Amino acid sequence: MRIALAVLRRDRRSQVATVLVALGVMIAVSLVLWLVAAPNALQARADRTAWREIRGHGEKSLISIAVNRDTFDGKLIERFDVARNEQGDVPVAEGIAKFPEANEVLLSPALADLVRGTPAEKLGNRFPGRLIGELGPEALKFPGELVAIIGHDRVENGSPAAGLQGGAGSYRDDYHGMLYLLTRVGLVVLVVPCLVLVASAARLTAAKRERRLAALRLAGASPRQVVVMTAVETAIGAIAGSVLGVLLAQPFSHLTAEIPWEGGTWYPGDFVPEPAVVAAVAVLAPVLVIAAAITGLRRVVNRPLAAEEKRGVRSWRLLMIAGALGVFFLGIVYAREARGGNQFTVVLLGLGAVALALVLAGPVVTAQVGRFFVGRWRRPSTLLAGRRLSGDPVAAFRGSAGVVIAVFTGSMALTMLPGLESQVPYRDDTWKADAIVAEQVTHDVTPLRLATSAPIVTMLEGTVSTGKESDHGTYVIVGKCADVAKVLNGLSCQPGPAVYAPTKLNGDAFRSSDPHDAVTAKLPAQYETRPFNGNRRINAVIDPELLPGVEGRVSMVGVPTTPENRDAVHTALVGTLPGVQLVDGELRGLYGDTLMADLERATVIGLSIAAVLGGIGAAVAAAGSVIDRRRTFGALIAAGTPTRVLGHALRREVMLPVFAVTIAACGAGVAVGLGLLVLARGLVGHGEMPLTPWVVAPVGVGMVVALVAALACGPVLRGISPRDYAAE
Amino acid sequence: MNSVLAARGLVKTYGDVHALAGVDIDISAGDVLAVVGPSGSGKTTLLHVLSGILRADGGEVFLDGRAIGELNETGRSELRRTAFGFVFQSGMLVAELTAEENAALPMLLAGRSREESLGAARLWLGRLGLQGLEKRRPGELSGGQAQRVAIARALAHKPRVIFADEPTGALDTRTGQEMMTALLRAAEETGAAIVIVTHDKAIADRALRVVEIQDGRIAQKAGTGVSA
Repeated sequence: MRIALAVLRRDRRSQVATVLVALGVMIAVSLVLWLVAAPNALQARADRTAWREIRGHGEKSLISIAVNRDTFDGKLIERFDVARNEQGDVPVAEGIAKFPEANEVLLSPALADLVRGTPAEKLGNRFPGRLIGELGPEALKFPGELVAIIGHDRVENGSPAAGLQGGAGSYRDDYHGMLYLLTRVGLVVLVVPCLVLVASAARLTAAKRERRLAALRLAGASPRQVVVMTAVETAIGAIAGSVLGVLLAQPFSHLTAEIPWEGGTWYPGDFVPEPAVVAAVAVLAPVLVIAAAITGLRRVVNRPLAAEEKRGVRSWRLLMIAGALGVFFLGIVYAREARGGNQFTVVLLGLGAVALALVLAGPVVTAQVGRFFVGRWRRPSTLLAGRRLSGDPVAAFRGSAGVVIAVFTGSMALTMLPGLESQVPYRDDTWKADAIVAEQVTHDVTPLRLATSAPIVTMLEGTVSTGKESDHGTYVIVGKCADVAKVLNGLSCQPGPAVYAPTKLNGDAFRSSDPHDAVTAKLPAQYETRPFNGNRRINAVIDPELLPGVEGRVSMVGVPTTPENRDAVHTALVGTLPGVQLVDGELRGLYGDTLMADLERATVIGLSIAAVLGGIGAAVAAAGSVIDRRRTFGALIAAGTPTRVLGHALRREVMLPVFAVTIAACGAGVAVGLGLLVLARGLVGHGEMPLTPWVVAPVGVGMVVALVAALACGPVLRGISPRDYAAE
Repeated sequence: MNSVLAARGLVKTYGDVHALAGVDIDISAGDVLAVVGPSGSGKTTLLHVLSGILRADGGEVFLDGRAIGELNETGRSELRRTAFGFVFQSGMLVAELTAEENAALPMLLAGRSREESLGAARLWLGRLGLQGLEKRRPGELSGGQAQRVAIARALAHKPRVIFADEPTGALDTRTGQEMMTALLRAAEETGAAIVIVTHDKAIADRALRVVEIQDGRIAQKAGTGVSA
């Protein structure tokens, strides 16, 4: 231990390596703490909003509650219409001062401010009653969220619930579990560049240390003594970095709390991982670094004369990529069938295995690239780079591993994003963009007609079937074609009663969708079927004259709007039909756009982090390779070799393996992306799988990152004196 | 005297230490000069200043009558690449390159073609008794063989002066003598001058002239009339 500390005190390069190890571990620990805190943050949001999940089915139904989403000025409003069913205390969650009785309203602070600053007919009238207080942050998903709880005498189409009490929420169900999967994928693919960075830093002066330790072994030091020396040398930097990383994670969590997700930013406390996790990461990171350093020395420990040997690589490593992809796709098959906590375990293991296989197979490709250039070189820089790549492919590839993983991640993300866009829920074009449609209407619509001068389109939804129990029927709406066409896309009307459908309907038995008060009717034996291709939700439109007995029945109300009257119509609908579920173009677009913006932002942030980590790892490794060969470079410079020629060779050394392996990584990324897309489509139930040329863009980005990293060799190379050949 | 390389009043200091304190020296074509002296006497500093690796703080070095101190770093690098050859202790070969590629490296760096450079390298490796070893890496060669590759590298581009810094320091006596023989023969064939820095008296004894450096000054000069 004394020798190790003495080396550290006296050797400047060991000191630089220790500082870089500390920096690498610091970044890795901060990042890992952030990544493990991301699911925590989603969980914290889910816990705060657990009161919104309707509970009480089969239990005491103290209240009725209708949960709806509303919009105003491009912002989402979470709306809860509630009514007491029984006397007695209604349990409420933290952050909700009391249960709002009829004509009482609770608003979130941001919504209360918005209401105060907006004409009542545009917004305030949507929340009829007396404002009795504001919701606390404990009941809000994010700062600035717009939430309203409106008390009524009764809620027409509410669900029974035991109260507004909180509990433990589950974010795993958001977007059908897709977000849960994505956070886990992010964790796996970002941890690898972290490990590469730390490994690069830990191996910064590895060659020199190997020679020193080999000399000590030859001088009689036992394997244990050599291991202890290495552990002490590495532990100083690793422990310091781990402590700094934990300290840095705190301000870092405040910074990441400003990144929007699902329409809002976070409370700073959301991104704080549990103390046990912090302690585990803080201890595990230095332990892993020390273990990596000791493992790297096993050749010297076992065979002291091995320090100067070069390591070969076996071609069978390439098969590992195919094997890992096999595990991944098996995981996809399993995840599509399975449910529960281990649903994605095999997929994530497979994903990690693919990333690891790319890192392990990289040296094989690097050696082959090196051999290719050795056979075809024309310039000395190509010869030097080619020989280095084929001679010691493990060392030559080590620094590129982070960039390769970043490219893999990038191709995977770019494969998935266009497909996810088509899988986002609510992104459908059933209704016209300017239409607002109220579903689950059980109310008298007369007050609505009085409240607005806009045309009101009344419709009744239901199914037409053969009447047999096994026949689920065709989903239809009953309404006057000329009116329905004002709000429904793709409907072209002609005079006279008819059924508008792709083909003649199978069956003649109509049944409305209202489970409590269903109405039935029969289509006449003869009727005209006119072309309507249907759309995502509506398969057919039936003129009410063909279904006597359903006149006057309403379960949906549509209103075509203009930009001028949109807010007023919205307010009239919500105000006169409390508890209805509104569907409008703005809401649909807002929901889908928010999700896609979230995914795109997360992808950009994730890829940026991966690219920066990969670039730093490559730069540190490239600088380390120059330091390791300082004497040889010193001799070449002494013999008149221009530094630019060496710089050129070093840049090629970094660039050539990155170029070759990133193409393989891009292919693996596309394959894994398609697999995840298949899984997401299985979770969501629909979606396309488009593949764009952009999936190869990460290869170009990887090359640029590698080039920038390679430029880090320049200052180190310029720092080498021709007299360094005589150093040590 | 018709000197290839000449030094006048060379001074080099490191802080308070005078590594060179007014050294004059003349080296003609075919000359073999051994520089000896105790550790820290300034031998290697003299070699570095003569070869343009270091700039002198005072005095001047002339190659064919031209002051090399007037050249910038690029010019001095080119000079070292074209007019000088170097043999270092332990060869200092590039570990990843083969013997012939190492020997061809200075010519390749000078912009010569691959065929010409490798041809010259193979020729010199053959002359130095390394036929059949052209494709081996430095790690696959013995210490003596590696030093012969270093000699081939130093000679392949036909330099005017060869600088050798403790060229036998890592070799046993017999191998060191064999290496020295190879170096002297090769220099004789090309007419290159040789400047050898060495601790080894047996090696110094084979030089045509010996200068001893003490405290940065030439303490003694001797001619030995050595041949290869």
